[in-house]
Amino acid sequence: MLGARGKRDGRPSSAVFADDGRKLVLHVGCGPPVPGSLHERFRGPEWREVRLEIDPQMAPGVAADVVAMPEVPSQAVDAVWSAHNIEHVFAHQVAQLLAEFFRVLRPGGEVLITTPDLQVAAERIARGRLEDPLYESPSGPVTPLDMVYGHGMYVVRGQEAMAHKTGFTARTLEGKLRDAGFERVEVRRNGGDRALWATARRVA
Amino acid sequence: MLGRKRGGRRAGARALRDDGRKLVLHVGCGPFKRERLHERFRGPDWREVRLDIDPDVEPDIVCSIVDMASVASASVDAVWSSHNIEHVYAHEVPIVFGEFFRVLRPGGEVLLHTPDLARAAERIRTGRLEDAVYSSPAGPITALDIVYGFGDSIALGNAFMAHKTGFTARSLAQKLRDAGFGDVDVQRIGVAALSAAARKH
Repeated sequence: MLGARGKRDGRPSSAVFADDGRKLVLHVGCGPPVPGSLHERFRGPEWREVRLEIDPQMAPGVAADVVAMPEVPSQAVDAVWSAHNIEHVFAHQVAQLLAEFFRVLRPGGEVLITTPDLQVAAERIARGRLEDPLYESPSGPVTPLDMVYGHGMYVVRGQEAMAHKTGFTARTLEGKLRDAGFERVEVRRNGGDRALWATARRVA
Repeated sequence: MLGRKRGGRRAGARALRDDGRKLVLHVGCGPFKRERLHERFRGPDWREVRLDIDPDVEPDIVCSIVDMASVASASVDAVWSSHNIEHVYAHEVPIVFGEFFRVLRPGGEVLLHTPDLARAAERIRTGRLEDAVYSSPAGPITALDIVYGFGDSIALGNAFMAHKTGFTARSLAQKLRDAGFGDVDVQRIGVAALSAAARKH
């Protein structure tokens, strides 16, 4: 099932993480190689992207599950970039996932996470507007129901991996990052994109 | 996979035979417990027919609520659905309600309970996603549990306990009307649940 690059035998993919003088950003749950999917913070010449994805068809550098990624050596990367994937695991797996992010970061390294802000969806749902469109996306209108459980259109197409199994508020995400050992935790909301943006550092 | 064969049309026909009593189809019934049947259907005039996807709970009919082919059309007087419509994907809800409608006799009624997402949202909007909303025999229930399913149970490996969609009083009433039901009545009950009744005319 896996291509030649997608080892799932648990051995570290050492070649992918070889030092070439640049800083490494691990792009977890990267999806297909789409320009713009890497956060602009990591697009400078001093950064090298390592793409990690469970689906080998996305041609990742490392084929691994974000919940357990023994393929990634400890303290191997300078940053972890996670866009809309921590809501795709069950609530009880979140601590394990964040522990993995912490483990693979070098001391001084930083994680950048974005995920839906459940408080934004809840504002609408509490007023009975569960299925009224909240905004337009390239895939069509997105309702609070889509924000909570994943965009219905993808799930209809059989892409059940697009379903959301948990969610966060600024407060719960901040608490979970601290519990995982991160410091200088900052979670911003109200950025206009209805998402939470969290940064946190592994200090030691 | 089945110990005793309960799938298929023949099992359905056997379970649904007429013995003079009214039939209530208890969908997603889980393990047998008298209290699991809504009290409205506990009188001597009713006979319960249990339907579940899991053969281990020993239902009369083994099938999914998304496709109840083994239940004949217009064969039951009531459908009782307690906390299972939130376990299918949003796009499957019209299919499930279409099946409930199909198996009911004209004049028959569906009665269903499901979490009230608006109640959970009232907590979440004020930042209380993981604070206890109420205590259950299995432990405290948070707004996160109401939305995505009881986390402690899912953590034990019961992934089928996960909720894949949810409803408010308004969205549930609309979906029942869209499926063809009349006399739709949705009430908010308990701490965070909806109770809906609707009739096939």
